[in-house]
Amino acid sequence: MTPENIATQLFNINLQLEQDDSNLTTDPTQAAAIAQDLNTQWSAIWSLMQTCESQMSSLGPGPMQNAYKNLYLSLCTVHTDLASALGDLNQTTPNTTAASEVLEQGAIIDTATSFRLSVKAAGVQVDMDRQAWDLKPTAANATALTQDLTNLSTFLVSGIPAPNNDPWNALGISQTQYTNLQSAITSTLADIVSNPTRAQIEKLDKDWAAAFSITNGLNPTNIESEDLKK
Amino acid sequence: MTTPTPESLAQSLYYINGQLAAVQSDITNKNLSGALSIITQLLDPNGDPSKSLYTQLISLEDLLSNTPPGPEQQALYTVIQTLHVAEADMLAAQGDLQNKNGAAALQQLQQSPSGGAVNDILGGFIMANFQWAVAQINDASTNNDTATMSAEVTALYNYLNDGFSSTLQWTALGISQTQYNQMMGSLQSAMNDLMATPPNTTKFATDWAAVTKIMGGSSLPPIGKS
Repeated sequence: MTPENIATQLFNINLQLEQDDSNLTTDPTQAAAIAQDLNTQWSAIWSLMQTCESQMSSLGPGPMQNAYKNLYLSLCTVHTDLASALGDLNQTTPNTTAASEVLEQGAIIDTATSFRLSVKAAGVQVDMDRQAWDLKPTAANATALTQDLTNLSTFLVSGIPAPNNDPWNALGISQTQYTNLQSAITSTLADIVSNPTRAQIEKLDKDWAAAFSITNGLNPTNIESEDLKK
Repeated sequence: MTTPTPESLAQSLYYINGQLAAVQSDITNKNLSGALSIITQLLDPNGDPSKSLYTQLISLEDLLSNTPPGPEQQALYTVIQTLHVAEADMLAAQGDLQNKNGAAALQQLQQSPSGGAVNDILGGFIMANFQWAVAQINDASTNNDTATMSAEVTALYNYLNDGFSSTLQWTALGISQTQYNQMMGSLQSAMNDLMATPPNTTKFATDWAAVTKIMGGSSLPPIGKS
C-alpha cells in the first residue's frame, strides 16, 4: 500500500468520524449504532497501522523509516483515542459527551495529522527514488521514480474527494502552494529521460526540490478539527 | 484473552525490559541475528501477552475500549501511548537489524527522541505498577467500593512482594531498600485499613499517600517525554 493509499483512507475515516461526532451531538440515542461505526473505523486504523509496522520492520535506517515511524505513532494515537471513545460508549449508560470530546479533541485532529504525515511520506518516497536515479539513472530507477511521481500527482488531483473542493485546506497549504506543487511534479515527470546528461539531472533535481519543499513542509501539528471538510 | 491488570502488565514489562537488555548485549557483541530473533519474539503478533509487547498492547486497547471515563481510563490511555512509542522504536530497531545495522538499532533502543524503547518500557512499568493502580483505586474509592479497593491494593502488595524473579525489588523500582521496606509497611497497613470493620478509609488515605509519595521519588527515567 502506498502512502497515497493510506492518505486516501485516512481522509475518508476523518470524514466518517466527523459524521459520527455530529450524530452523537444531535442524537445521543444513537450511541449504540455510532459505537458500531467507531468500531469499524478502529479496525480500519488498525489495518493501516499494520501496513506501517510491516514497512518499519523491514526498512533500514533513513528518511523512509522515519516517515513511517512518525505516521505509525500518529495512527497509534488515533487508535487509542478511538478505544477511549468506545469505552465512553460501551457502557450501560453511554457517556456521549465524553465520547464526543475525545473525537473532537483527539481522534478527528489526529486523523488529519496522520493524513498529512502520509502525504509527507509520499514525498519522501519520491525523493528516495530521485536520489537513486541521480546516482544510477537506469531504466529501473526511472520507472520507480515515474511511478511514485505519478501516484503523487494523481493523488493531488483526485485523491481528496468530494465534498472537499479545496484540497489545499486538507493539506494545510495555500491554493498557490498547491498549484505550484502540481506544476513542479509535472515538470519533474517531464525531466525523466533515458541516458540523462548532468544538466538534465540537475534540472530534475531543481524541479523536484520545488515540490519537495512543499510536501516536506506540510505541517501535521497545526490542524483545525474542521480542516478536512472545509 | 486474559484481561490485563496493573500487576500482569508490570510483570510483562519487567520481562520485556530484561529481553531488551539481552538484545543490546547481542548487538554489542556483534550477534545481530540473535538480537533480531529476540526482538521479533517481543513483537510477535501471536505471542503470549506476558512476553509480547504487541499482544500486550492489543489486550490493553481492548480493555480501554470497555473502560468508562474516569481516572482509570486516563491512566490506561497514558500507559498505552507510552508503550506504543516503545513499540515503534522496537519495530524500527527490527528493521535496522534486518538490514544489519546494529548501531542504528541500538539508537532506537537507547536514544531515539523519546529516550528509546528501554526508557519507555521502564516508564510503562512504573505507570503500570502505580499510576494505573492508583487510578483503579481512585475509581473504586469514588464508588465507595472498598472491596475492590482492598482487592487491588492486595494484588499490588503481592506483586511487589514476590513479582520480581531475578533482581532486588527496590533496584527494579528505582528506590532504596529502606524506602521499599517503608512502602511495603504502608501497603500492609493500607490493606488492614480496608479490611477493618467498618473499613477505615480515612487512615487508608494516609497510608496510600505514603506509598505514592515514595514511588514519586523513583530514580527510574521520567516518562512521557515523546
